[in-house]
Amino acid sequence: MSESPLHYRSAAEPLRRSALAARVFVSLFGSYTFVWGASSLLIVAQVAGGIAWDEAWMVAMLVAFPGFLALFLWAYIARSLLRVWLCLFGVGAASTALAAHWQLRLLAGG
Amino acid sequence: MFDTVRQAMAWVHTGFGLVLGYVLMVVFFFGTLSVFDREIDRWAVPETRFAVQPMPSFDRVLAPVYQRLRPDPADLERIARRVTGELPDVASLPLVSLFAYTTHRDPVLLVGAEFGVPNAPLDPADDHLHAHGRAQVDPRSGAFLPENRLQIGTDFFYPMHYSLNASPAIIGYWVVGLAAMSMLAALVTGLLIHRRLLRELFTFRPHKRSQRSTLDLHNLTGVVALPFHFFFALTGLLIFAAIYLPVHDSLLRPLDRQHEVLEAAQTGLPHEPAGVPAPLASVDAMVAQAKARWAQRGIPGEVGFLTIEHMGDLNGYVSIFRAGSDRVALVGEGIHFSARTGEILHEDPAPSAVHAVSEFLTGLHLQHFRHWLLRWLYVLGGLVGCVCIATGFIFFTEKRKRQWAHHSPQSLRSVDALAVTAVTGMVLAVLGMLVANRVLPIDLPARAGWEERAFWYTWLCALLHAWVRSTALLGGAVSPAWREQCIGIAALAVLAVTLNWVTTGDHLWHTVTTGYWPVAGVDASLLAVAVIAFTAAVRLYGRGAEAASSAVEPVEASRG
Amino acid sequence: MADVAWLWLAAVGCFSGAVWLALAKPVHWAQVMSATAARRHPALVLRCLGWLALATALAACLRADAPTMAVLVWVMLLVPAALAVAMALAWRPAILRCWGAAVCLRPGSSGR
Repeated sequence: MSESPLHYRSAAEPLRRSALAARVFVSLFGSYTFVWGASSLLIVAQVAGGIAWDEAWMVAMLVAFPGFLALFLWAYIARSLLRVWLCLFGVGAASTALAAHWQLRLLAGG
Repeated sequence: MFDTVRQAMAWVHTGFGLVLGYVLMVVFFFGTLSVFDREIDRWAVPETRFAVQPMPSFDRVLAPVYQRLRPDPADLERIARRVTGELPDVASLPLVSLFAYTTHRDPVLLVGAEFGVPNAPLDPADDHLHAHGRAQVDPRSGAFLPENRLQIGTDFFYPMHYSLNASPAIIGYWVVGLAAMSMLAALVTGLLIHRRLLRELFTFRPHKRSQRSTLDLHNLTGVVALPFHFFFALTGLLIFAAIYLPVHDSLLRPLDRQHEVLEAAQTGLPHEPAGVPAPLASVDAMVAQAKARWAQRGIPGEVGFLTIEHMGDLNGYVSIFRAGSDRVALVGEGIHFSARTGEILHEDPAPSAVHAVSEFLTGLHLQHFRHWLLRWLYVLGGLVGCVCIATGFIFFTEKRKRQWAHHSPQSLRSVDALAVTAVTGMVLAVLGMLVANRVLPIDLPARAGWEERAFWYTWLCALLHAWVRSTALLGGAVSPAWREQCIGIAALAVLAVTLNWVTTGDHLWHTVTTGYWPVAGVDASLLAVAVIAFTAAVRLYGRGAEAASSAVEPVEASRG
Repeated sequence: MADVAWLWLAAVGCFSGAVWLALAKPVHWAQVMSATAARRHPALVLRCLGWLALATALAACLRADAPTMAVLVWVMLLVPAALAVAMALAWRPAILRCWGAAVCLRPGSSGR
């Protein structure tokens, strides 16, 4: 196929297919990783603060989906693709690890 | 990469809209049908055309029903693969928990149970070894409804709405979830790329050229129903939050387990069975007590949901939940009784602010309330959503028709053929299924399977027809598949109404005069669909003739 | 059955509110009103009247149902109301004239 129907081409620089694929990938999987870690951390933090488990879970879910939407759109707006990758996957992985560690400490302490 | 934010948002809007719009169309359309799923069930299963029934007496009617209930063979097969040794005789599997569920629109009662499996699991961590069984019951007699009747509304259209009836369902859940997220993104990006949002709030110019009027209609339907679209997509995701973001079942499983044990201690509702057999006290007395408690609290109501955990065990308890017919939130105000003594163990406290919000959000989507105006307004909202998505597709093809006709004619044809299939083809498939439901012999083995096949094959035929007829596009015309399928819709809708009359005797005049609204409503809606489809076909034929006589009109490809 | 009356009032309120808010836009005012009346456009009055009608509709919904349900009904009633106004403007703008005339009749109500 000579041209993808989805291309919005700017005059200055034709849209590169690989760059676009990288954006789509990070907008979905990067945002998901971020939301996964952040909502886990949010739940553990609330439980550590004395909030009941199911209430903490509910709060995290109410924030998670609008949060995903915002991150998803940001992945297309942001200028630097590298920053998007680092932020979404990096924060996602870090907060997941932190949540897991904090949970262990909570269970050991309580 | 994108020069401006608007350009990036436009790409997201078009790209995700085009790829997932087909799924969204299915989700919106079947969601709309699901607003009246129980009514469609009555139409499709004439044996259940009787008055709505309250939760029947447990002691007299339901207790014997659960003794006759058996695990689902397919579920037993799955269990057999997870345990060591052969499963014992089905009738000997002990019933460990049960539920009964009804709403203010159900003549029939849904019952279900979990059966214990004595075999050791292959994987020691596999601690939820239960075989499930469920059935539809006539609450007046306790008789099971015949198994080969497909409740088209609740068992096919409704699951289509959230799982596309995919197998395994989890794939469907995820595709629908992604589509719902795309809907949210499309709404936000749509608002951002709309150039004259407030100025053109009420603007529809049907007399302008089709590209302009299509975009007007796309914007109008998108904006006026924006809160509906946004909240339904969002609450749909929230309802399945535990599937889309299963942190509680993976990363945070240890905390989740700790909570379960803590909760059992706090509420006094045992988490585990004691292993000591105990008899069951009168459940009817518990129901009467629960109703009295609700009346005392100023919220008199009917029982919507009843469960018994640890059946026949010393630790057994009965939970009785109030039907949410009079408010947005679902069943609730649970009162829990000791199964052995019938004493109240625990009464659910008033929900916290967070829970009240989440119950409102999920309740507004799942709509258990008794409010017929709101129900019809939901139907309108869903149809407006369908129009919004469909006009999005039509605008996309109209805009690119000239350009694409030359260098990628196959892409143009496939986008348009898929659009026809997703709009008129889907309606044809539904009608094909309803017609099959009325013509297939009542004692046909695996009748439900044939009804489902009628649905899928009708849809497939619609796709083939749309593809074959789309060659006309390349000459700049509107695909004749649109008007031909509209004629098909009108014909099948009238046929379905006629067949209902012939096979059951319930013609529209009879159902209206006797006030049997479930069937009268479905028949009247089918006739309305026939009229609309016929009118649309006549208009499309008119436009086709006009276009042919005026030869080629100039089309400018700029977007307003 | 009084609930039904309140819901009717809510529907009428939502529709009238949508009509007045649409007429507050110069394009639609010119579309609906005759040439002589179209010269004066009381945009502010129309806008206030529009919001007032929507508020009345909400109050009517609240009389008919519990608050959470009422808000839902009100939001959902706005959909057919706005659609009906858009369709009326497209096909039969003249039928909306009495809503505009109601504003013009009062002598002191000429906005800018």
